[in-house]
Amino acid sequence: MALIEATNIVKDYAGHRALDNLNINVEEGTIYGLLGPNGAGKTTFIRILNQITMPDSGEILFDGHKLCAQDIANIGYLPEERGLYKKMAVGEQAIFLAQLKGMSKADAKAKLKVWFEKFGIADWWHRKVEELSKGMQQKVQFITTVLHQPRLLIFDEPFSGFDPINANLLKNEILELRNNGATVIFSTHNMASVEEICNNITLINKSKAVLSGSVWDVKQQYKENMFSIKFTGDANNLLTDNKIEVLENGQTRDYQTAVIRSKEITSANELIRHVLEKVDIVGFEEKLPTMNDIFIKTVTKQ
Amino acid sequence: MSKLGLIIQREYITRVRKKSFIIISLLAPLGIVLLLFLPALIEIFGGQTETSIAVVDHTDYYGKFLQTDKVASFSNLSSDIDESELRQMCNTNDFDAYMLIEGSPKYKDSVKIFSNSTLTIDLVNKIEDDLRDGLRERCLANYGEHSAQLDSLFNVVNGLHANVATINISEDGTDSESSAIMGFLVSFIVMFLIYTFVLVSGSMVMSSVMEEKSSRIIEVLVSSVRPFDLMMGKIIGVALTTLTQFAIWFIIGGAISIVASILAPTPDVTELANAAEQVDENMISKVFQLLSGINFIEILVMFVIFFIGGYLLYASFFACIGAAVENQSEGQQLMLPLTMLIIIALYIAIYAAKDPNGTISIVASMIPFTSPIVMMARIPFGVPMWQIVLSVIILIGSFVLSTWMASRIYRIGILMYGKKPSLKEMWKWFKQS
Repeated sequence: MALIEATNIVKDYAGHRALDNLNINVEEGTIYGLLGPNGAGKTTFIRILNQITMPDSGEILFDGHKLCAQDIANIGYLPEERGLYKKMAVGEQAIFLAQLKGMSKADAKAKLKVWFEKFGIADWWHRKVEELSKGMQQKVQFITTVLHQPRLLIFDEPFSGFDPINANLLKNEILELRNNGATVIFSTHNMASVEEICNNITLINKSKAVLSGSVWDVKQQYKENMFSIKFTGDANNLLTDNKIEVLENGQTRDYQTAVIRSKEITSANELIRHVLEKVDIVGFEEKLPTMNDIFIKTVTKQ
Repeated sequence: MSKLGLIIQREYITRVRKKSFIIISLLAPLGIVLLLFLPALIEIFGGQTETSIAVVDHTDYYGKFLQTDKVASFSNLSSDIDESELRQMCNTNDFDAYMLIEGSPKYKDSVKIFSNSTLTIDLVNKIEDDLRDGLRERCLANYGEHSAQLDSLFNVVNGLHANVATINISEDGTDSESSAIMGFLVSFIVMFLIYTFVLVSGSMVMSSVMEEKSSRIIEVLVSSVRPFDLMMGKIIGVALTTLTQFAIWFIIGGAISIVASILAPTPDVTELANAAEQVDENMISKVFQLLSGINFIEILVMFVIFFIGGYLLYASFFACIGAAVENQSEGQQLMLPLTMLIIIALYIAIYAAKDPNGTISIVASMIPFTSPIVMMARIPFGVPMWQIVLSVIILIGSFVLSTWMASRIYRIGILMYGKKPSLKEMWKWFKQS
């Protein structure tokens, strides 16, 4: 069931359309990637989900009902431009932010202690934020985003500014939250992370959704029937075959390699069958486009 | 607790706990006390250096009226001394200055003082006063046997003072004696309180909004709280902080004056009786009577209303500016028109305290930007009820309008980063939201 159903979302800023008839459905318990170049409208959509700005037209359903002020308690948001009160003590500030999300003070405190232990920042509870390293501040921000166990988590460029260790920690936490039933929307330029953790994506470019679906489907849609094979036998059998095109070939100590593009046959099984007649196959892999390739291709094509 | 309550609480608690708040709250009253006593302290510890003056009196009369005191010491030299010799004495620091009296001081240039460094006004005044005594005595001497009588007559005449009691007529027939001086005093105090409060708290609201924007916590906040609540929470929280500070000052001030009255040496009873005799009969009861002529309840109620109204009106604009800019210096520029308005209001109010029922005073006490200060300046002198009611209604209407407008600009502004917006752009934001 869809947790978020956004239909025909339009948002205009003075003389500029930020979102043009955007439709997005986010299934419950999945990780949804919102991709797109800078200024495409991702943040605008995220702000609309957070009810920071209102759409000019269109409708958003949250768990089947129209998105309303009460849903704030069910959403956790980690903005791209994020910060904390510099002069305020860490623990006190985290409690304040949790209370704003509707948690009681005692509940917030108990849960925060657990998270602070987990992230190894418990000793910093009474310190001022300005005394913390950037990495620690990011941990605090992450904790305050997820503390109230929202059903929907929105991360805008969550990995930007994280070192690889913290980025990995964050990624694992996101996956764990998903496994525990949370739905995650995350906007990013980091295509590697999209391939790794997203179930579905939408690519927004120039205010419009230009591509959407599961990561697998999108890749299938953009595949060019390219395969890399390892084989033994006469390479000329492949080079002279008019049903395939050999893009590159090479030789290792034990076997030969080639990247081929199938001209007529689209099924991998059939292609294997076809190639088997020509050479002895050692290894076979379909070369799917990376999300990075798809992103660049789609955006530059327009 | 409601979200608005949480915002107010955070704003208040973080401010009140700040070291600077505690220090200012405790030290400011001491500072004011110090300021009050500063002139006396300077008098005591600084003292004035004595100027030694050589006097050559060719009239052989006025010189004797120059009284040596702690400011100046005079030495009469014989009149046949040469001026170059006098100069020499000054240069060798035997004297700081020399003075030539060549005729009656009532004529120009007949008395001259030559000195190495410029003389203080106090000193010159003292010399002029002394010489005036000489002139007076010479005048009186012309009347021979009557001169003593005339002398006492002049003293009496100089001490004469005409008294006028001013009485306010009220509708219920209970007339009350009022005092223009008292009115003026109360009006000044109240007016400056509002002025300071609006300006100080207003800029606190501005920097608080700016802090949330520049630290980028704002986006998280507005995803949990309505921008309007956030803005109002701030405005109220800051107001409570400032009021707390006032309360602390009030209490400390009270405590200091009580302690001072206990510690101060109790005057001798006979001395007190003598003093009481000198004081106009029932002077003390008179002061109370005059004070009661001013309707303090009315002033207090009006003070609270105009205080809150004026603050809300200005604070929402300050919040707006804070939302539009990202650093203090940009804020200062946009603040200028607001500060100007408040200062203009203060000037009109000072005028209104002298002419409470002049056209400018009345008009300015209706315009919402000036009314909180100007009306408070007028109220101690008695203002017709319809004017007060009208002014309050206009003020309330204006701050409702201004907070509504400000919240629209605020909610767009807080999420806009980059260059400082022009007023035109801010107007666009207003229309957009």
